[in-house]
Amino acid sequence: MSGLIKEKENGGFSFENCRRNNYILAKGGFEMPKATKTGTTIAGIIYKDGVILGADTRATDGNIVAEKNCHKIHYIAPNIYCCGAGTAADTEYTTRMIASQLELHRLNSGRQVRVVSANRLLRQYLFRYQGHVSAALVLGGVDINGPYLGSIHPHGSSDRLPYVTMGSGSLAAMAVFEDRYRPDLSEEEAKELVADAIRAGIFNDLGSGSNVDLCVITKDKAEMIRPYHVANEKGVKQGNYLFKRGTTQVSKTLEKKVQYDVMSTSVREIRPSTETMEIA
Amino acid sequence: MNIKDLRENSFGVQDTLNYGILNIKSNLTPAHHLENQEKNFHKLEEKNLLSSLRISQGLYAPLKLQMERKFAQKTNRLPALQSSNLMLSVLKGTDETIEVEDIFNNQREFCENNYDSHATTDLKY
Repeated sequence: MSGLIKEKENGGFSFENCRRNNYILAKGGFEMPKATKTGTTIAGIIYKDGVILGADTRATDGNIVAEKNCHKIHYIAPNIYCCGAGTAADTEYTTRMIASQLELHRLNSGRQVRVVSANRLLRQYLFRYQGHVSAALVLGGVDINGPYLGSIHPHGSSDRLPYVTMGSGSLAAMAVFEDRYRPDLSEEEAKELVADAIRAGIFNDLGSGSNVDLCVITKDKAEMIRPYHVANEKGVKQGNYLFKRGTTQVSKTLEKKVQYDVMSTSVREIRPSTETMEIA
Repeated sequence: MNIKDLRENSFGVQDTLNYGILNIKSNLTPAHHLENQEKNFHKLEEKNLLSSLRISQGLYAPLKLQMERKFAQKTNRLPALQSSNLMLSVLKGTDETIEVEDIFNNQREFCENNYDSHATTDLKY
């Protein structure tokens, strides 16, 4: 393995450090670094004209809030959006990769992307990695077959439902949906229902917090409302904690002239840089 | 274990200079249970495709596809210089897709491996 001749490596995930990591963990005294999780509340609902997706905006790193206003509703296609819960990097990269694949597919076929294609690609990708890619997704969109809403679990199973919630705050949000969901809600009612569900997650779950983001997808367009509601405003400091000038007493001042000699002078024209940075 | 996995030199023992210290256990047990799965993923996918083509379209279909792929793999470059495998990727369809291999650990981007041309050519010929 560590000789002059190296085997040709393929792309994708590399497992070369796994043996070393297993040994270190078995020896004890060392903890693996924790990935930033989104510890989320994400929810989606099908209403009269389409789909509404909602998400909170807190990303956690263990017990610390890593990001107060993170972006959990990811773009997949002009008519498809996806909320992601689980490890933040996994959801981000998975959705971006699927979005790229779908764009290539759309250019090849010349048709609007169908949500079932996105669902299948995501499912097959997550199943390939047997749940190690920890991404729990709520996928929603409107295509030629009408509105579509489904959830995809990290191990690769998916469900198609009229209302879904995922993440650590999913139980709180699902409670709101189970109580108040009706088919064929109007847009305003549906937006308020999703916002209430996300707020239930924000206020009752430690892993969710900050604002409510919404995404309204209809047959004609998709609209990101970010934030729909700022549920937690950061408190404003009540006093000025800077010290006034003159707080420290000046006892003595000493001014000294720095001796310097001019060695050389040069005149250079300032020109805007025409070189572009080379991307390796 | 395959006969190819034995990294023997002409004396019949492990070729330490070229391949490192002998460690049979690391070849037999995978470090992560996805490791072997990932190594064989594309091979298995291709096998499944060809076997379903055999069933639906007869022997000719997989035979012709495999023949074309074999031709595409016959790049006559020196062992240390890698081919872009353009024909192979066109045949497989991966020139029009973005896979995991193109994003994570892309060998054509920031590849830090310095293949020793003398040792690899020595080995091949």
